[in-house]
Amino acid sequence: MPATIGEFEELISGPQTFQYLLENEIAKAKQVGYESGYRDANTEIESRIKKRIETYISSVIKVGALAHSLAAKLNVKITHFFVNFCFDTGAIDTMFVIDSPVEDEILFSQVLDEAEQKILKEDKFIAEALFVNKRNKDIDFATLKNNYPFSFNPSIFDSSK
Amino acid sequence: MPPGPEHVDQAQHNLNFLETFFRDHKFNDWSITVAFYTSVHIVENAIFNVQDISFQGDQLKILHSDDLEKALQKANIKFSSLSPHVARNLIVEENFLQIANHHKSLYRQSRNSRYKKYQITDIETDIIVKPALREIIEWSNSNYKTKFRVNLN
Repeated sequence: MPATIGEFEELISGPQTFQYLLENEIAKAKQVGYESGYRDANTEIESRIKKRIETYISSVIKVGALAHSLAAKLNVKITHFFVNFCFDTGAIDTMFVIDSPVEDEILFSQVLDEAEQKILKEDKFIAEALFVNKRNKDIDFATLKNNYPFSFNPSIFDSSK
Repeated sequence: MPPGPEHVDQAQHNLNFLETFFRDHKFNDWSITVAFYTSVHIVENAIFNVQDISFQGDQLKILHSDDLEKALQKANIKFSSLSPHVARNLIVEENFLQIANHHKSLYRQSRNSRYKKYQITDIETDIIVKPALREIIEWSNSNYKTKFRVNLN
């Protein structure tokens, strides 16, 4: 009995070579392997990215929820919560529009510091939370929405609901 | 960014500049911005003096906030890219607690002027700038042997 392909080849002859058939089979198997590997890799990447984005979004929501719950203890009303999603860098870029006496702005700034620190420690995301106080001011919402294209309805953070 | 001693000169230079227009209240947005950048230079001088900073429990040797990202990579701490201001803010929050609120407040106020269409009242400017600079200057003068002075009254 032939033990190797070389020995087997010596037993046959024809217009087609055994080498040709072999290469053809290898190519087909490679294609199947490549497609299934590609599929597996795609699924893996997709699920990894989905997970990362889910974590990222839950961290963004956490920033909003923290700011709302802490602001409730101050004389500060959050009227808008805007976000610029930066999935590529993983930076959390948020902007709160508040209505508050000027004297309480520094306290709200501390609230945002607290929220940023919590996200850094717990979720390992670097969050930047800024605010603008609209009291007695005409806010440039067009520029704001341009820089922070997504907005959350602040009522979703209303703990009384 | 220059090394430590040059930050001292730049901070005092900014304070001198601020004195020339602060009381007129014609450029309140610029008062906040100049106050913030004064704080930036004071903080950078402090980092230069301390050199050994703490970040999320790890000790890192840096001379300037620009070095933080590299130091994080070296220490195998994984974070997304850092802007210079964000890096500095993180250092301030963990290492210079006494001034953290004022530095961050100045930062936030300097970032939001554009959304207020630069309408910043005189009282607002006083409330934001005066206590912040007073605290930051006192902190630097007593901890880092600087001699910053400013008169905004």
